[in-house]
Amino acid sequence: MNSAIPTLITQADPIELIAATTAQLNRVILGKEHQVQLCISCLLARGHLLIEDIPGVGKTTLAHAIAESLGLSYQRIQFTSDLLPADIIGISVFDRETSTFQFHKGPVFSQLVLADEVNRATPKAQSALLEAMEEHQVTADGATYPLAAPFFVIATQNPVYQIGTYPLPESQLDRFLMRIELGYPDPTLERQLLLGQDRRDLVATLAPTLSPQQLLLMQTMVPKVHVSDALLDYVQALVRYTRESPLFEAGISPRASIGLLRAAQAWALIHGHPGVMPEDVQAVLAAVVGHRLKPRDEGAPKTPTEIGQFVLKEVAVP
Amino acid sequence: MSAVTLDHRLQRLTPVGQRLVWVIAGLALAVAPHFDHIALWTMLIAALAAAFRMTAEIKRWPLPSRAVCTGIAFASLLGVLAGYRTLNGIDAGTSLLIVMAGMKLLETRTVRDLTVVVFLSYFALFAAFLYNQNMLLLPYMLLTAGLLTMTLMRIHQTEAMALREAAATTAKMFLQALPLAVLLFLFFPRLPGQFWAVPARERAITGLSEEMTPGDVSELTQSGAIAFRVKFEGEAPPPRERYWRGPVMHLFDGRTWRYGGAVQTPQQVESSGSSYRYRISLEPQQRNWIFALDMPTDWDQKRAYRAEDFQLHARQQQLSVLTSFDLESSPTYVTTGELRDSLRRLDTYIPRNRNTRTIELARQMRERAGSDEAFIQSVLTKFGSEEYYYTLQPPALDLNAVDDFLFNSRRGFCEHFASAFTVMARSVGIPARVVTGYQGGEFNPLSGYLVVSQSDAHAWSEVWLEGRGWQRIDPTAAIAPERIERGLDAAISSEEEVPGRMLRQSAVLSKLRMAWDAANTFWNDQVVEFGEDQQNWLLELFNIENPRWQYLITGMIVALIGFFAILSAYLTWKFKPRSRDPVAHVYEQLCRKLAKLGVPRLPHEGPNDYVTRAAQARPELAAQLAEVRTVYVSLRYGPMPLPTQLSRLKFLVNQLEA
Repeated sequence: MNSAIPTLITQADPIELIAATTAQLNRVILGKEHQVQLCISCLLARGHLLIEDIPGVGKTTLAHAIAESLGLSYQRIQFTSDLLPADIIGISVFDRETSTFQFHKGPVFSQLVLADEVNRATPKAQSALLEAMEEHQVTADGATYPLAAPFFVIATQNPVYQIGTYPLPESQLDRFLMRIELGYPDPTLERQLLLGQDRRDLVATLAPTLSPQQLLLMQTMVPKVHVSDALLDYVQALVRYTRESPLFEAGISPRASIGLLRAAQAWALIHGHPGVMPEDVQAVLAAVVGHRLKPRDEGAPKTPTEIGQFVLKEVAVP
Repeated sequence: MSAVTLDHRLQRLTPVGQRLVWVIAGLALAVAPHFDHIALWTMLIAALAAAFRMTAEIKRWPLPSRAVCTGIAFASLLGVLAGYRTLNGIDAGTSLLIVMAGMKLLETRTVRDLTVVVFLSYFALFAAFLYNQNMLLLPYMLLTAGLLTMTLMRIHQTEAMALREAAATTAKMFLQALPLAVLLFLFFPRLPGQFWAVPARERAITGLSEEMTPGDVSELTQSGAIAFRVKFEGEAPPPRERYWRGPVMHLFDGRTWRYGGAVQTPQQVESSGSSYRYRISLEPQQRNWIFALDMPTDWDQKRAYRAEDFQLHARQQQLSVLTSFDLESSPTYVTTGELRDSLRRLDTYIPRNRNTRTIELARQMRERAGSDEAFIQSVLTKFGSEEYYYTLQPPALDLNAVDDFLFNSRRGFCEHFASAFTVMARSVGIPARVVTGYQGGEFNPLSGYLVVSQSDAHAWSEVWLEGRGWQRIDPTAAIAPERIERGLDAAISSEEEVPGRMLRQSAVLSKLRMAWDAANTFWNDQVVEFGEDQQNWLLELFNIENPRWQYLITGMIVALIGFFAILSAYLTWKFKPRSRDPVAHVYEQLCRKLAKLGVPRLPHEGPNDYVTRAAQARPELAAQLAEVRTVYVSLRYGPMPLPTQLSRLKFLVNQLEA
C-alpha cells in the first residue's frame, strides 16, 4: 500500500499511526468510521469487543482486517452447538515417545481471536472463552499457560431472537468492554461495495500499519491520558444515574465504570486530545454501557444503542 | 414488654397500621396531662375515634366519607360550644384541639394526614403548660415530645426505620435544638400587659376562701400543698411573729364568717422595731391575695395595693400562675387611723338571737373585768385554764356554733377559738374581726426559703381598742402556745394524727422533702418566674440597659434570620457537589452569553460540541469561539493548564458581544 510502514519508529506519533490504521480499515469497511474507531479504542483499552448484528454485514471482514493491519496472529473459532471447551483452549494428548501428556494449544492462543456467532455455542463453551478473556491465561491439567500479548477477542453474535441460540447472560456480557453494531451500509456505499473488489481479497492485500510492539506501547499510554476532576465528576454522574434511575434493573458495575474511563481515554488518545473531554466519554458511552443495562418495562429504552443515547441525554455535563 | 419488642410485634400490621399505632400512642400521651381539667366526653370522643380507626385498619373497613367526617367534626364543635359557651379561652380551645385531633384520625389516609395528627398532638402537649408549670411535667413533656418527633420521623420514611435509630436521631436533634431553646428562653421578650399572660380559669385550688365556717381551716391543714415561699433578705422573723395576713372576715351569721371584699382606702400604720424585706412567691390561686407578713409596709404600688383591712392585694384579677412580689413588713406596728362608723357597726354586729349563752357569758365577764383590756385578758385566760382542747378533728357544731363549742364540745381548732373570741368581743361592743391567713412556716436550709404550706393555715382575731387601733389577739396562743412557737406538729397531742407529721419527724424523709422543695424552688425562681426583671439583669451583663421590648424582638428576629442564613449557607457549601472553580465560572458566563445569542447549551452537551455548534450558528464569532474552545478544554480537561490561560479565557469571554 501507499503509506510508509513505520515499524521501526518506536516513538512514532500514535495519532498518526492510528490514523493510518483507521484509514486503511475504512477502505475495507465502508462508511463505518465510528465503529472502526470504537474497535481500535477497545483494543487500546485492552478490552474485548462484541459485535452484534445479523450475518453478512462485515463482522468477520472487520476482524480479519484489524488482524492484518496490526500484524497480529489471527484465529477464528466458529461457535456451534457442539463446540467443546477443548476446541477453544486446547487439549492434552499422550505422547508415546516421551510417555507424557503433551498440551496442544487451542485457537485461543493467538493475538486476535474471532469468536464467530458466540451465542450459538453452549454456555460451557462460551464460558471457557470468557474465562480466558478475563484472566489472560489458560489452565489445563494443572498447568497454566499465558495467552499472547496483545490479546484481543472479537466475538460476534446474531441478534438473540434467532432460533437455536444461547444468549450471553449479563455476567458474561459485562466482560466485553464494548458492544457495537455495524448495520446496513447506506445506499451509495453499498453501491461501491457492489462495484468494488471482493472484500476478502482486499483484506489479503493489507499490510500492517502498526507493529504489535507499538500496539503494546500504546496500550500502556492509554491509562496515562490526563483525566481532570471535572471529567471524573461527569463520569461519576453518569454512573450514579444508571444506578439511581428506576428505569434499569441495576446500574453499571465498577468494572464497567473503569472500562468507560479507559475507553474514553483510548478515544481521547487516538483523537489527539491532551486530556479526556466529555465528548470522548459520550462517544464511547453507548458502546460501553448499552449492553450492561437491563431495562425495566415501563417506558425504558429497549436496545443497547437507545439505552446509551438515553443515558447520555439524561445526564448534564458539569 | 419493651418498646422494641412492641415495635417488632407491630410488624404484622400494614405499614399504615404500624404508623397509626405510634401516632395514636403519641396523641394519647399528649392528651393525658389534660385529664383532670378537660371535659371527659372530649377525651372519650378522641378515644373512640382512635379505636374505630385502628379497627378499621385491622378489619380493612372503609374509612367514613368526607361528608360523615365533616358532620361529626361540626357536631363536636357544637358540643364544645355548648359545654363551654365559648370557643375562646384555654379550656374550650384545648377541648376543641383534642376533639379535632380525634376527628382527624378518622380521615388519616396519607402520610400528610398522619403528620397533621402529630402536629395537633404537639399543640395539645404543650397546652398542658398553660395549666401547670410543675417541674415534674418537664421530663414527661420531653419524653412525649421525643416520641412524637420519632413518630414524625418514622412516618416519613419509605423504608422502615428502626426504633433505636429514630430515638438516636431524635435525641441528637433535641440536643442540637437546645442552644436555640435556651437563647429564646433567655432573650425572648417578656411582653408587659395582661394580653400575653396566661388567661385566668375557673378551677378548684386548695387554699383559703372568702368564708370561714368552723372546721374549714382544720380541713385545709389536711392538704400538704405549698401556699407560698418566702426568701428574706436578712434574718427571718422569729416564729411567733410569722403571721401571714390573708382575707379579713367581717360578716357573721352565727356560724359562718364572710369576707367583706377589698376597699381601697389608705390606712395609716406606724411601725416600730425591726422590719423585714423579703420576696414572696405565691403558688397559683383563684384570688389576688398576697399573704404578706403582718404588717406590710412597702410594696410595688403598680402591682399591688393594701386594702382598708390591711390585706395586700395584687392589682390583677387572679394570680393564676406562680407570681412573686418584693415586700417589706414590720411585725411591730400601730394602726393610727380612725374607725369608720359603718365599719364599726359592721365589726360589732352579731345576730342577737343566736349564740345567746355566749353573749350572756361575755357580758358577765365584761362587767367583772371592768375594762376592755381586762376583759380580753380574762377571755384568753378562760381558754387557757379551763378544759378546752386544741385538736385537728373538732366535732361538728350546730347552728349556734359558738355556744355549742364553748359549752358542749370544748374541742376546736384555731378558727373555733378565733370565732368564739371575736363573738365575745363583739357581744360587749368591742369592734372585732377574724383574720385568716397562715402562721409559721418551715425553713428549708437547702434553698434558704421559708416554705409556708396549707397546713400552716390559721385564723386569729383583731380587736379595735380606742387609742391603740387594731390589735391582734390570737386565742390559739392562749390554748396552744406550741402552735405559734413550734408549729402544728408540736401543738397536737401525739395520740392524734397529723397529716405528714411522720414525714416531718423522720430525718431522712425530711431531708428528701427539703431537697425536693429546693429543686422546685429553683425551678420556680429560675424557669417559671424568669421574667422581665431577670431578663433585664441578664441584658445588663451585655451592657444593654432597659431595652424596649420592640427593640429586643427585632434584634432577636434579625439574629435568628442571620443565624439561619449562615447555617443554610454553610450547609449549601458543605453539600455542594464540588466547589466551583473559576474556569467553570467563566464557562457558565460563556454559556449565558451564547444563550443570549440564541444558542443555549443543552444540558448533556459537552464543551467541544457546544462551542462548535455555536460557531456554526454564528459564523462571525467562529474564530473567537475556536480559541475559547481550545483554551477552555485545555484549562478544564487538559493535563497542565497554564495560569495565563485563565485570564486569556476570561478576556475572550468578556470580548464576546452578547
